[in-house]
Amino acid sequence: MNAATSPQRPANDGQAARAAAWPVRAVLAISAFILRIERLTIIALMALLLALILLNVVTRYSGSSIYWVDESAVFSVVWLAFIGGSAMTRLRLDFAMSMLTDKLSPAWAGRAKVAAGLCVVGFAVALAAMCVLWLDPLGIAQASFDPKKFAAASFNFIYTERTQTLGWPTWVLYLIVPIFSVTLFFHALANVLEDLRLSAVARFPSFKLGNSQGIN
Amino acid sequence: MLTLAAFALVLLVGVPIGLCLCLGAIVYIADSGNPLLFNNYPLQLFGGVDSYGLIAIPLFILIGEIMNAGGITQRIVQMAMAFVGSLRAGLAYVNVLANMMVASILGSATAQVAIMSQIMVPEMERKGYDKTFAAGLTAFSGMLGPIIPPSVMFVVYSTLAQVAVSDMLVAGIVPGVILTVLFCVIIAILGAIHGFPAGERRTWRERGRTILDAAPTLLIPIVIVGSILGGVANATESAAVGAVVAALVGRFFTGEFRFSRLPEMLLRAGVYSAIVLFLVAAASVFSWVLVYGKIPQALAASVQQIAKDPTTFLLLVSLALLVIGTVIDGVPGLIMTVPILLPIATEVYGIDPRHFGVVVVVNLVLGLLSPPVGLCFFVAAAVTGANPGRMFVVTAPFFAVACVVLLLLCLYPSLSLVLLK
Repeated sequence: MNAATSPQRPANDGQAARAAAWPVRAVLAISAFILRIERLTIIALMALLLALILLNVVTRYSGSSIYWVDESAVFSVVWLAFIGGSAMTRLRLDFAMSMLTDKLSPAWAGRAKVAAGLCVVGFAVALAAMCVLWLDPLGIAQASFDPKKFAAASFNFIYTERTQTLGWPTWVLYLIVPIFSVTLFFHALANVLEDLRLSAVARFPSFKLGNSQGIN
Repeated sequence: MLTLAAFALVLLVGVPIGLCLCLGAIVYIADSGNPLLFNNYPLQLFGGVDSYGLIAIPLFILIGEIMNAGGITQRIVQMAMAFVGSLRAGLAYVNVLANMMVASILGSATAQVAIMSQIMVPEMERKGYDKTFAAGLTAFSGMLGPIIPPSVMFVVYSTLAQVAVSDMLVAGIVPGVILTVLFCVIIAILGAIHGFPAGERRTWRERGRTILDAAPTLLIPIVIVGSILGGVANATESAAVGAVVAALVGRFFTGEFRFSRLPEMLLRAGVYSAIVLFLVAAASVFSWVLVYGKIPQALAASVQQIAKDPTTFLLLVSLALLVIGTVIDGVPGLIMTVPILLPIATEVYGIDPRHFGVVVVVNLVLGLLSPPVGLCFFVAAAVTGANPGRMFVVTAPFFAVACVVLLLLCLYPSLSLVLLK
């Protein structure tokens, strides 16, 4: 624990506090970098979603429907869910039950927060491991990256499937799940390091968010 | 049993609810002796949000963001004032009526309470109303948000229950209108007892000018609800068109909306909707293992011992959900209960899934207004500085009326299904 770092003094824009040890700074910097990309991607996906649905309305009424628009919109939302889900972890916006932790002493509440953060880190690691089982990167490499050969050997058809209207390989779209497991890992670890007071708690003014009150 | 213990433990430690569901599913698979399920887990997580209906959520939240930035809410309040503002307890009626109109644009109770508390409570306080009552009334009126279409909770439910989003949104209209009317009746009674002040007298010319000034804002609910009811657009498309109409009204009629701020609004809407969407993904994994473990069937067998008919079942569910709703917020509550209760409701008791959705949503929204958690009260308290505990006491008649509506819904399914036939 670094006593020189005050937990009350927030760093700006998710930047790692200078006084923290380098591994801590590295994790916080990676998390901040990921969050910057997530911020831009969320804006882009929302704009794309709005444009796609409006395009659908316009083309349908002009009698020239574009058949792949619905599927594109659905996949935009799927990616939005995982990218936003990762960002909300770092922004500490997700719903959690605080009935018990609110009643604990500050010391025990702090420990509970760290334990909760470690559970999220553990989930990210478990999800990454399950993605390895699911996408079987070693298996496809052993099949010389030939999807048909891989499917014949493993009965795993993930690399031969294509989306219904876009005709894209589905595994490309599925990649968001392993990406999510990695970004979630860094964000959750950054939160744990802050909760351990190894660094100041970062703020993210560029997101201009209050709290998660817009959703019920 | 191990899954339940693990789930309760991580929930109580403060792990986010979505991840509690994900972790619970992992523990279940580890305990099931079928590790092959781990290979399918990421696909289930992905598939949980791979649904057309869910597209409406980010778009509905975006409408709220645009509406806020465009000064549209203020105009709606002014319009409600022109209609009923001069009556005794006029501002209390305005509060309910404006909330009903705003609910036809916004889909979230807490967002609505946050916005309306800023506008209505200071105004009511200035006119001599008790601040606690004003804040509590705003919180109760805000419960119309997720009941009158559009509604984020109905969209989530329709995905969980595999029913048409449009059907769910339409099913909420009659219960929402009944709640509005009964809230007004309570205001009339309380107004007579406590002598609530009358609002400002306005000439017909002033009223006409206010209504004309605010009239373009009505385009938004007309486009959203009208296009769904008229079958012109589906719920998702109506949300996208609604967002465009809100932006145009905010830019060209109220003049307060700036297109340069759109990226900021898209970001907020994206993050807020991701909170809901990730919960849906997590719920899908959890319900997948529940079905694998035949949990709903086991629960159905025990429930059948107590509830012999659909009405008793709905009353039991309402009681349980009211209790659950006091500690768990709306959307997470929906995510955690629907996968277990819906199969029992539809398969064992033959309840229409759309009617069941209305009962569940009204229950959970009422939970947002019940102690000890009562998120809507906390939001109103945070905005106005009123005491949330006292707020619940002074607005107890509204809670009672909402419970009566819930009871009526359990007894008469036609209240939610009438517009669907």
